[in-house]
Amino acid sequence: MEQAELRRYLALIYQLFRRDLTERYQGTVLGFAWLLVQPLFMLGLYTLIFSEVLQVRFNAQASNTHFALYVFTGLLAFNACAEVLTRSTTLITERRDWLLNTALPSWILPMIPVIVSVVLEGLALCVLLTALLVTGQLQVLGLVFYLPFLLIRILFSLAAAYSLAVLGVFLRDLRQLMPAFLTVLLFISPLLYPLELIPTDLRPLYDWNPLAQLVEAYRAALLQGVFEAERFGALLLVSTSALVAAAWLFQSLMPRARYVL
Amino acid sequence: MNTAIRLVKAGVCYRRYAKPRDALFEWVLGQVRHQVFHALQEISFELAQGSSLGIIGDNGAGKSTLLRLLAGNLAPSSGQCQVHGRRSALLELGTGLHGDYSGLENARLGLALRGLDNAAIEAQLPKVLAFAELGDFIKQPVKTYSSGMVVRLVFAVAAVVEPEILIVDEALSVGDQYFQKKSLDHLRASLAQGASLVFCSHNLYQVRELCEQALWLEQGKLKLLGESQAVVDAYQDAVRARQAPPMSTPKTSIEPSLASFPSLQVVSLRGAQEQAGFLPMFITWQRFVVEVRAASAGWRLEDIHIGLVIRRNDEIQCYGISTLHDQVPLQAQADGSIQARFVIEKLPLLSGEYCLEVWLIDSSGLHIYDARERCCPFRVQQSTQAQGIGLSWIPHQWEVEAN
Repeated sequence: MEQAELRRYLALIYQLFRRDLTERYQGTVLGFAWLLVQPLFMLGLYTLIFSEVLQVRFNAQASNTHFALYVFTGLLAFNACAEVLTRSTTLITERRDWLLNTALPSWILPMIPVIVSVVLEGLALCVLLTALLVTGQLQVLGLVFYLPFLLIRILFSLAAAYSLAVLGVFLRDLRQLMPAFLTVLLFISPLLYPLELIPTDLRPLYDWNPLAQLVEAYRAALLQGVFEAERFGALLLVSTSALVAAAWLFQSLMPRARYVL
Repeated sequence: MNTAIRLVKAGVCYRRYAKPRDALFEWVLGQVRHQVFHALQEISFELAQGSSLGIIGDNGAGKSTLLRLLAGNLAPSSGQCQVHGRRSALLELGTGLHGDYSGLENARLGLALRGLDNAAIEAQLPKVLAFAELGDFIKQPVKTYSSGMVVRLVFAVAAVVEPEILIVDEALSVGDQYFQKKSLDHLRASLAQGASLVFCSHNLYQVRELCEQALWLEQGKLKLLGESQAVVDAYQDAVRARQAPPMSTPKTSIEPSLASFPSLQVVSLRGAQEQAGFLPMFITWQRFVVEVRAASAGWRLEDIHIGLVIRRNDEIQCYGISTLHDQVPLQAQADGSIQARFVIEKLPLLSGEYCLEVWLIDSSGLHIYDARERCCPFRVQQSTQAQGIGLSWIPHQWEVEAN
């Protein structure tokens, strides 16, 4: 791709991203402040529920804020994925007009919710890091170890976005299914409980759930300052293959999708 | 001369599916579940850099599909479509706009969609605003715009990118007179600077004025391609022929060779001084007569009216009136023809060259059966300067205050 062409695509992506964010907070009192208010509120709520009301602790030594941060870290990955999954199914149908009447390349569209999800995750991460710093639990290398898994998260999100975006054109029911699917995903991933609590005969189920893997890896990196190289390798392989498959699906189905838009 | 656009047997077919999911099942299961609809078939033409092409045809003839193809929004299903140079398309009104966003945001995105990078977008925005002349409305959501304002915005975006190939659909016709003129002037200026233009309009007059060549599409196929005047005329003939009342039973002895539409036969001046090598001449305040003869073609006489306009050679309409507005019923001769005289007992026109436009219109005044434009040129000569200066003598008097 020529440099000029790349710059044009970047400009287009930037404009679409801008509008996406503007649209989301248009007419709200807080505006872009919502980006920060939401994670702050969630963290406050978790701390209140888990640390004060339920007083959940893994062991006697753990601080009482630990469990709230534990849940929050897991939700970092989950919320970002949920954002992409909810948006993707209607991505193409909502932009029907642009696709048919302008030279907008369709492959740009699925990138937008993924970029938005990275921004949302980044802000939530800032909240998390601040909280860790304040409670004295900040792992210095945690951020460095987290970044490779963020990459994995992005690869998975892109794979989901591309396949759901194009499938959503044909299967309009997907959109209705998504909230239910997300609830299931919330419970089959170790978000509100540690993986160790799962009976060993059910473990394979979790081993094959990439989100569960990601959640565990996020926690290991950010909360314990541990880089899980083996998990990274496996996830990289799976996520890259998923993205290649999704790209192929998108490319093969998109010409057909135009007929039914 | 470089080629800007080359189409070789280009065709576009759409597949029609009963339900969206059928398109997916067809792919997975490998069984055909669609009907094919040919929107365009075997279209071949070339457009040289710097020239202009008008596209005409009925609704559903494939005009929009052809424009989308040229704009690059659609790939041909068969054949080739090559477009050389930066193109900018202005397709159906309001498409590609997002109602909730402000005009400004839409302009930014429109520029990005036309392939500008961020620096260029910000550089061009002031030009878009200046061209669109929307004032403070530019910050309002586009859904609050009137269609005229939308077209201003869309045209401004399409215009400032200074494309080598401009593709313009219908849209212009909704703008107000001022903006229509401004946008047409812009199109003409772009052409003069060497840009190519593809222009699609139901306004055949504009097509004829703006385009060197025209392409007539009929049911997805190329019906005629050539010099725009000829193609537009052929198309108009076809439209007229189709609109003729089916099987209009000739009541009287109308010549069978006539089109079954009322038509003008003779328009002539009476009472002018003829001199070889000069235009027929009238003297101001002289009697002025135009004789019009027309064939009614079996139409109800109440639905036929004669309109007449006197026009000076600088295009000023001096006066126009019709039997419709004067409420004069027409009479038919024995052979079904209509004969009428337009008489001005005391011609008030002052010196100058004039001509006539004669129209045969229906009782709504909207439909034109036949027209003679710029016919019967004549001169008017004042007998004396004392008749005044200007276009026409206007009845007047002076009242002078005495002590």
